[in-house]
Amino acid sequence: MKLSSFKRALWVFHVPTGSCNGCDIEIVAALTPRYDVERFGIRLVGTPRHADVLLVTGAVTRPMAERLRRIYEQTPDPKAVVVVGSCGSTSGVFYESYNIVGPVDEIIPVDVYVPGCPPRPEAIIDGVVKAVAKLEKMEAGEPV
Amino acid sequence: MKAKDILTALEEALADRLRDSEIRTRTVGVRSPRTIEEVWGRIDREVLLKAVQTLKDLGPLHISIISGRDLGEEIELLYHFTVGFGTEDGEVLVTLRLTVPKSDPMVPSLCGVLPGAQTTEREKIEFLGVEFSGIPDSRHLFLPEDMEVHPWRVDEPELEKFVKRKVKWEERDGE
Amino acid sequence: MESKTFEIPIGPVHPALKEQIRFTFQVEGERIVGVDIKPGFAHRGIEFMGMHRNLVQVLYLAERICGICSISHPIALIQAVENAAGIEVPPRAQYIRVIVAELERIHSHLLWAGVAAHELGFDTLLHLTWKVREKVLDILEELTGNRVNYAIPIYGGVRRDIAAEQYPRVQDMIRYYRGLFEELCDRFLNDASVEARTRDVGVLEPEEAEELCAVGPTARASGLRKDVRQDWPYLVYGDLGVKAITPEDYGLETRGDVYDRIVVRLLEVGQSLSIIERCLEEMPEGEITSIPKIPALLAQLKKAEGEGIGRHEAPRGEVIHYVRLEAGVEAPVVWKVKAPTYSNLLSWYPMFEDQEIADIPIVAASIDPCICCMDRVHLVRGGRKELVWKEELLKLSWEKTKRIAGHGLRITGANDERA
Repeated sequence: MKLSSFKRALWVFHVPTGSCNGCDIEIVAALTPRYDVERFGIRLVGTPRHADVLLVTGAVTRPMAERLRRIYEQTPDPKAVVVVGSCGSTSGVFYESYNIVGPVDEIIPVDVYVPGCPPRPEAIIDGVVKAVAKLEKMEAGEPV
Repeated sequence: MKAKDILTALEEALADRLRDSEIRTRTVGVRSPRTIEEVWGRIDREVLLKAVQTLKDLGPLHISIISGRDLGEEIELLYHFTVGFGTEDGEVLVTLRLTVPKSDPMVPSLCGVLPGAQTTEREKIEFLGVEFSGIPDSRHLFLPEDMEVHPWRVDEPELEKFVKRKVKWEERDGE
Repeated sequence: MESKTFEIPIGPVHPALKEQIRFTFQVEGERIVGVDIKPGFAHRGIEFMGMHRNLVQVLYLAERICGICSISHPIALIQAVENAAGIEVPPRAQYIRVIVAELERIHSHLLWAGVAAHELGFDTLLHLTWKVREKVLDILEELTGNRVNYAIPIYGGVRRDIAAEQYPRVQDMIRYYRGLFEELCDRFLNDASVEARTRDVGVLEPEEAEELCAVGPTARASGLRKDVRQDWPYLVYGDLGVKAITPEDYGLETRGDVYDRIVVRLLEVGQSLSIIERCLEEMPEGEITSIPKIPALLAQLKKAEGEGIGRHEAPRGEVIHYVRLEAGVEAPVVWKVKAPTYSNLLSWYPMFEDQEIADIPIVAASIDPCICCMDRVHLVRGGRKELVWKEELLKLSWEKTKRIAGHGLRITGANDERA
């Protein structure tokens, strides 16, 4: 898909759920001048009520599971959920612990997975762009 | 600070309440190798505060961490201190071992002598079920408030349920 | 006039990343009179998991304890296991470990500098520092294969060597940063608004730092000469003669405030550059690991018996790992980890006393917490709870900078409303 086909700016909300911060840093690095996603109109916002895309990182810890669910419900439709990193996709190295309640898709439905530990900023941008394509199809009423 | 001075001071202060004491040595460095010495010893809980005060009088005292282990009938705590930071190659690691029975897991708290020990003591309360008398704050630190099990104990049958439990939104305790 | 107390719980989630922790502040007017801290939202049970796996799996787990100081935990763990099992490390491997550890220190301090600038409202400085940081990430990727999670140390040595043709690129990077050093110091330390926002803010007295066992730049900014590389030499830091840096080394009188912490971290970047340079010069030729084959290593570790302690000076302070091995058991019987923010948690209490609400973001960020995070702020007025996002706190912080600086600042995010 062509990036010029974005119809409006994309607002992204980042939800950390007990991650090691590696993926979180690469997400913020995507905003900095070398990768600079802001030129595509993609920005991080401070509240889920303004967001189109949720970026979730981390293997979900027990206390964060409820908050993740609540944030998902607070985000207005249409929305897309992008899971960044191996911890969120498949728990990565964090399995069989008393405080981890499983990969993100056990808590909320997920649209795009970006594996990696951590994935490069280019991969994260690619994931967000795929989520946007999905969103635009949903808004146009096409099947996804 | 020399390891020998620390050991002598502890022996004088604690007499026979200090057992199994030794100085372990290693060599580090490539171009100018030097010997690193660590002091290890076993004490009773009754003399813990006296031992810590002795160490504090010797030089700037820092508590790194308290590690712990469940030995079945007893719980073993290892206090990792360092004495004498501030000069090159001047710090000595001092580890004091302490055992308490599970039937009476009470240990005097260090927070009066060394307030920085509060975080690590609170962690032992929730992970091993040890109690510290005189600690200003004994709430859960890292574990969720409603979690009653002690993860590092070996005889916790409830722990399996926590490890295998998932959160299902409709039923809180999906098995 | 009567003063009321409000509780302001602050949770996680922040536009500029971070982890989760909950603060509850008791406030009278704009002044903070009490604070309560509840971490634990990012607690994954790492030690529990580690005590059920073999030691090489534990190494990969240890790397992912923190994504910013990702070689610090493996270095401490590996020293603990090597001391417990009596494994020797060849000299060249020790130098390589030090080089990667110092590269990590540079990237971590530059990251922090950008975050601190963002908390104060200088987003241009955030973008500048993070752009500048990309150079050290390029070198790390060149030497180790990844920008984060390098997987360099292994029990007995390191996994990758530094080839001779890579030396000039590392030296290029050192020259690049040396050239920028003056400018970075100038923008952070000679700016009147930065100084006004950070001088005498979040003060930690030396006696408090010593009693609360603070570590790292937080302790050094209060004047304590406490650095594991100096006090308890390990690897080749003893040969290099590394000394703890305090604000006196910049010609300043130590006050233990946020400004001093910026000074210490920027000076440490310069120190790391010199250390890397010397390591490249002094590194001998030789093998890079004493036990090259992993099955042989695992077999040897399974037979090992003993206990060991490993320490490292991570960018945030002292990291210590304790390991107990028993013969015939693959997993470590006891594994205890301490990250530096663990020791610095208690220093937040005296730092927040008597500060304004608008200073909360910068004071919280000044110890460089590796479990930080803010999310929502509940304002409790007389029993009724109001929900405010951290965005509001940041807006307060940026507006204070505007008032002090007296010139317009571009405030990103907080003011933009969706039509």
